[in-house]
Amino acid sequence: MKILVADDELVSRTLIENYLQYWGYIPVCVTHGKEALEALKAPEAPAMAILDWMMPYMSGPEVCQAVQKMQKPIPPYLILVTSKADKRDIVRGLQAGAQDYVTKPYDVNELQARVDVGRRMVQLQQLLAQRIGELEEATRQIRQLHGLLPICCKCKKVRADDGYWSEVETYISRHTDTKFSHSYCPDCYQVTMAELTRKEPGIAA
Amino acid sequence: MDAANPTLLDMSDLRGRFAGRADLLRRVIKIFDEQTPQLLARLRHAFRRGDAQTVEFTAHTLKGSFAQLGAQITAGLASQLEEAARVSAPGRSEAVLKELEAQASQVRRILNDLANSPDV
Repeated sequence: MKILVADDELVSRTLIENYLQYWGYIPVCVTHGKEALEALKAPEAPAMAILDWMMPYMSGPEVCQAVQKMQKPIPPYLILVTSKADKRDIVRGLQAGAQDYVTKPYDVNELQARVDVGRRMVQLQQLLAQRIGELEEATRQIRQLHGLLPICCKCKKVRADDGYWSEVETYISRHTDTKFSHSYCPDCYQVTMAELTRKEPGIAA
Repeated sequence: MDAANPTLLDMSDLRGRFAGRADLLRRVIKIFDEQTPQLLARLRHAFRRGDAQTVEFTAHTLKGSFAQLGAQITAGLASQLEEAARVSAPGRSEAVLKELEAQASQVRRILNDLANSPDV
């Protein structure tokens, strides 16, 4: 999993970059807030970002606010790294849109645990998004069955989604789990028997 | 040259955080050694010009790198400068800046000795 690391201070950035590599992540490093936002806007943007609080051009909380406004279907998981241990600052960071924070100098094991929590959250969101996609597709199909269906008034074939005409049982089988067992209803049985008797008079006996 | 004060560095914290990662510790010490004089020069220059914003920002950066390398006392001095600049009074912190510069060179020496030692 790619993780964006945004920090203008080289010692801190090198440390986080290396720790992430040790833990099996792919760090993508930038040196200021504007660059961080650009990276998070990109099509293949990292799903998680570790943002320093104080950075040139845009602070970590400002990046968080801008990311919130982007309204991505799966927003990135944002961790603020700060030497501001004041509770009011932490509340401010979380209100800006960060999901978590760590204070400098951080405990390496704590940072790893928090990054792992982020990974689980991202994976859960991706799974939920996939399930929602499947549900939306199923709902679309159900809606289609409820909708207007063109049917031939003579042969009773129906026009399917692809524009081709197909037997009504083929159409229903394709869109549902229904299986058909063929038989005669009482009315059709009467008609069919009458026809057969007319053609082969001995058959009724 | 005065002997560096070893209490400026929390060795147990440093060894704990870099256990089994001597290469990484040597690498960040090298980065720290290169960037710290530049940051201090920027800080001194901004201080002389009365540029509170640059003093605050640079002191904050120094605070972070000192703290990451176990130099909490020196990080505390950088924090004092940062706070003073935030309330737009960096000019009153000349003594703190001098002490920060003095401690920074000691911390660099201790860290360089550590990087050159075979039992990092």
